[in-house]
Amino acid sequence: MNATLRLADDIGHRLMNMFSYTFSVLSMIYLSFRTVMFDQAQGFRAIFSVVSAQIYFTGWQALPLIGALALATGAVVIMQSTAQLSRLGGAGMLGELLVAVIVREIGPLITALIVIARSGTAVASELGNMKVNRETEALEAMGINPLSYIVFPRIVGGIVSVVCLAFYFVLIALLGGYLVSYFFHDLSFVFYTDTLAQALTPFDVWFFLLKNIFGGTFIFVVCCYQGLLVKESPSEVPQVTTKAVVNSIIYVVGFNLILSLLSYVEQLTRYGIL
Amino acid sequence: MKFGNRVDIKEIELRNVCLREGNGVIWLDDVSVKFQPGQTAFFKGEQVASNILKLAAGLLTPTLGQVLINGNDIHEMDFEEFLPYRLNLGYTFNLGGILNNRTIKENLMLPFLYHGAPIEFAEKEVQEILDLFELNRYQDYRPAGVPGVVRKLACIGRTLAVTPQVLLMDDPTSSMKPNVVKRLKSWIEERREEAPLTVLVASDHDEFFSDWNYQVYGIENGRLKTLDEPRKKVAGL
Repeated sequence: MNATLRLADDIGHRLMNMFSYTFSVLSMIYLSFRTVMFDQAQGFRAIFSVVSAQIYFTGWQALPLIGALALATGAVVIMQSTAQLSRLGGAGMLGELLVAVIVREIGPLITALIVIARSGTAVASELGNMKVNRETEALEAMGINPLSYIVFPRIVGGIVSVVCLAFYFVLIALLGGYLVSYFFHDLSFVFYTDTLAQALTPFDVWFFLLKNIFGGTFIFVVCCYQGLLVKESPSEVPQVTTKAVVNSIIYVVGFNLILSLLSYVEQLTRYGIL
Repeated sequence: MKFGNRVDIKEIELRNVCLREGNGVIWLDDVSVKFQPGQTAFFKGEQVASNILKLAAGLLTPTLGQVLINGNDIHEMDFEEFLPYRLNLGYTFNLGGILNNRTIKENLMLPFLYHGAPIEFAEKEVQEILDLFELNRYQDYRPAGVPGVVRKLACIGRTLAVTPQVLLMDDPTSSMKPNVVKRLKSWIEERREEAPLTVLVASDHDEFFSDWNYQVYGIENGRLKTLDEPRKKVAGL
């Protein structure tokens, strides 16, 4: 009985911590946007320069890595799908399969994981070091709200970068992947583009945008939040960076999973299966 | 010309302030003190003295008690409400406080650019500070590439450049050459000829300012005490 109570207590405690953490993270999004809306004194010129720097580091510099991964992923998925569907006589379903796998699932997920690994860690450690060096205090002392100068530009720059990178991933995966697989399979380009165009619906576009916008938000707000948790010691920086990566992955994967489940439940309902 | 919407600071008061840490350390215990425009005060006692300045600058929240500026409790204000006061409160750091991803000049320009001051005006004010502390040759370097004393001077210079009404300086003279301290003093004296400038300093080295009229405070067991120390004259200053 005691063991059961302890287990229940432990689970309850963990759940409360998770809700409290989520509430704090969501509050940070609200406060940073609110500060930018209501603080009339700030110079948008200074904030815009931080946004553009964030887009450069997160988006532009990640293009080669994302491109290589997209090419490899696209080629593998297209080759496997063509081979399997041809055997089953379902070659006409290739477009639907690629949209479901690459546009809806793999594109947003791999992009998010790359951004977490490259930029999430950079943001968390940069902000942690800023706290250690009293840079955030210095900003406050100058009348510069760290939420509008540090957090807001990183979230906005992060969202823009993630959406653009995911779009770039999907484009390279579908077109570059076709070119690579062309050497192994006799797949007509006209047939390929036609089946893709027929499969892609406005719902897929919304689904893609929703996953990437929220994914980008979660990654950067969690990393900013963790970075700003550092108190005074440099030894805290790697600890918060690790936690930022783990928490970002949990939030992004969790959100993507929930969204995908909801969409498939909706599809099953539409087809009368549920 | 001063940029930003500012409120004149007529009085700073720490009323029954207690500052304690979770581990039981008591930094300040029931401290009450007031500062008027144009006043100079030195606080001796390292970390505790720094904490008094941070409290006055709104960078630290007291465990108990109030920090009042013009009779208003600053910890009841949000960031935007406190901003007009903050722009007249210049806090300089003992260590750190300089943005590492910006050059020395960009650090000095930041408050002007953020608060929408005209660029020509900002350039002029910043150049004056670069000349004052002979920072011209370091202006395009990032803080990691310059000596520690240059970082400290840049931090002090960034605060002076925006001409606040209250200067809260955390150990400004440590590791500084006497001629630099002399220039800092001259800058403050020149500004005082134009308008009252309150100067609160956390430092054990008040001898550099011995020709000024000032009050010295010490902190013992968290309590603020007025010290009556003989003032020394330092040769060469």
